Amino acid sequence: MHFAPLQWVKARGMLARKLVAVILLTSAVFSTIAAAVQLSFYYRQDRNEVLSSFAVVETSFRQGLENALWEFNFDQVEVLLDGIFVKSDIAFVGLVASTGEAWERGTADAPNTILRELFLTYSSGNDTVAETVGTLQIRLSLEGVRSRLWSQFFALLLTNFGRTIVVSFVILAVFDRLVTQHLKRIASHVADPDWMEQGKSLVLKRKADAEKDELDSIFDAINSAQTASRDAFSKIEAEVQERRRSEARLADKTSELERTNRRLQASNQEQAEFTYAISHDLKSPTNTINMILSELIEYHPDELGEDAVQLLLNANSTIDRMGRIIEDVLEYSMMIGANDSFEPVDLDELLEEIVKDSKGDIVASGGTVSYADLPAINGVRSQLRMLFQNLVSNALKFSRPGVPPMVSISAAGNSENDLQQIVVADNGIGIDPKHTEQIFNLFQRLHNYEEYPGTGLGLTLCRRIITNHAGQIEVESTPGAGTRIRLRLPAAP
Amino acid sequence: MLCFQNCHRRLLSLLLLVSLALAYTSSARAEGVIRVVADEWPPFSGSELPSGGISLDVIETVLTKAGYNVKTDIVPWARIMAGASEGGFDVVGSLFMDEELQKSLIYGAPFYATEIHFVRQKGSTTTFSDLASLKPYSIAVGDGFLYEPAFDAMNSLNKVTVTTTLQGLRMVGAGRADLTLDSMEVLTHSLQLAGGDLADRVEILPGVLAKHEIHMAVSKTLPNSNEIVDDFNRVLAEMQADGSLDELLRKHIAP
Repeated sequence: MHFAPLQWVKARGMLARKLVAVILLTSAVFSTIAAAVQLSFYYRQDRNEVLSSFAVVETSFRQGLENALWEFNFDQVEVLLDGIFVKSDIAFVGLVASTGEAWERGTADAPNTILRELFLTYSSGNDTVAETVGTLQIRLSLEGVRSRLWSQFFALLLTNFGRTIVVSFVILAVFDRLVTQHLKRIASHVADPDWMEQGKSLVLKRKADAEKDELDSIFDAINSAQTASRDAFSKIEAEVQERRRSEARLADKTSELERTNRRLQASNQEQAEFTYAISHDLKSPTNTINMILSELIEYHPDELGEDAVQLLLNANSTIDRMGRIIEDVLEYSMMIGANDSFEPVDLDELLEEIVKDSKGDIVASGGTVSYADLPAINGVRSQLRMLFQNLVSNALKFSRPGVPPMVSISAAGNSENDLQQIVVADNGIGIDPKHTEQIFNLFQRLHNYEEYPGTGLGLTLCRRIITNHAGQIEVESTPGAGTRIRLRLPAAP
Repeated sequence: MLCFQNCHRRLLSLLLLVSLALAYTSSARAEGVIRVVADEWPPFSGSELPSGGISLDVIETVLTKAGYNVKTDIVPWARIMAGASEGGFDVVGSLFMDEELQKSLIYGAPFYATEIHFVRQKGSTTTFSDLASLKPYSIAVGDGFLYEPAFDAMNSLNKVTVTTTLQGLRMVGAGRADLTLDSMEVLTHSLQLAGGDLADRVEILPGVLAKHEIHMAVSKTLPNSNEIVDDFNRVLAEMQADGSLDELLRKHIAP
């Protein structure tokens, strides 16, 4: 049976290989550190042992050499030098006698050596001063230390490597048996697209221990998740069905709303056309009545008498008022569903035109209309002109007695949601807050006609124009102090 | 230096000599070769000396003339005393007369005489007249050397032990010993061997401590030991008579 280690390792799975790689790496690092410490210790110990040769020479050979030199026993000197040189790690021994003789063993210029010199002396029993008999030079080679260090290094390297490899294979096999195989089984189980629906629980193929481990927890969690998921799936499925039904109902409602909207649009259009037609048709007889009444008053005053003339004047005035109402209604009806094209409108330029056209009213009121640095608005120019014309006119009209109206049109703050704020403020009579919505109703008037003449359609028309521009209009007012009408209109691109 | 061995070494050696000589002599005889040995004691015997030195040259020449087939060798004294454990021997050269050795060896007639002299540092006032005059001095003596019985026994002297005569000479030359001593031939040879200026730094005193004769001796274990000794003595006497011995000796001893 052929055993291929690499294939065997590959078959153990990526997780196990990573684990082994981490073990190998960690082991390598710690082994290196441990080996370095160990080798450092070995080196110091070995070096000290080598250096101890100096002490050995000094204790074992020194006196012999001193005596031999003193006695000129050169045979003994040779023997002693051989005895020193035969010791391992001694690279060179040199002896120079004070009488000139010299001996050498080994190589004086050997690399990586430590030199020690001993000055040899001799003192006979009677002499108090020792006489120098020679100098001994010993060079200890550290090559042996280095060589042994390398041998130890390689031995450590090989043993650690071998041990790590064996341990790694064992761990790999154990990990595969304890973990990887089960993880593969989990992966295989959950890889089945229908694993949650099958109702088939994951089975742990191993001995059951009394105390559960992490794999047991994973198996339990998966099986619990499977159960919970099936329940959740059923709920979700029910919800989906419910949502589908709701969406169907919503679609029906939407269709219905669309149909209603279309009917409303048609109705609005029809109403507008009807209103326009009524207004237009009423305008002509009204003008005719007005003209007849004017002719009667002008050409037949004597025949009618003073009271009758006065009544006809009143009637004529009412007819005028009716005509203006018809004009306003006509304009309002034209605003309903108007589909004019939008364009950038310079409000400064627009207000200049309005002020110019309203000059008579402004002068008559004794008031002022101011504006400056107004933004450009994306809108229908004719409608915007009507909007600001109405607001300026109202501000001039509803002034406090004896107080010249002061009207200002200004931009307020930055645009929000692409809507530009414009504020039209005055110092007029103001509006009771409870009427701030009421004033936008058709023909709604807060004052009698004689006090403040008008048709009651101005602000209705304004709101219609604002609606046409998808804007907003708000009223802020303090009775007796003035009114601020805040407009939000689309800013020009 | 066969003549300078101590008693301890001598007793041990004799026992070994007797026992081991018995074991090996038979082989030497069987070959018909007389093996002559001596220890390193220049100039009397030595491996570096011409013809093995005075003793071996004389012994070999005499025995050869007497009709013997001779082989000489320089061996350590301990081995000589051990009975030539590596091959045996028949004749020992370079011997002073010694009673102990006579128990196992038969001495031949002396073929050379030498005198024991003291050596001092040149310029020194050290003198020698008798043994008592030596008391103030330190004397370098060879370890186990036998110079003269009274001197050797005089332990009251300040003796510094050395292993070679040359050592003693060097110590005297360096002023580390006041005196040293040996036979004149050994002193002269050692000074020549030392080289350098040692010869200029020492001087040999004229006074003679002792006079010794140099012998050869034949192992008593040889069945014809007496015959060998007689042949040696006879031929030696002939050589002394015809002057060939002196001629041979001049080869070794510079005038």
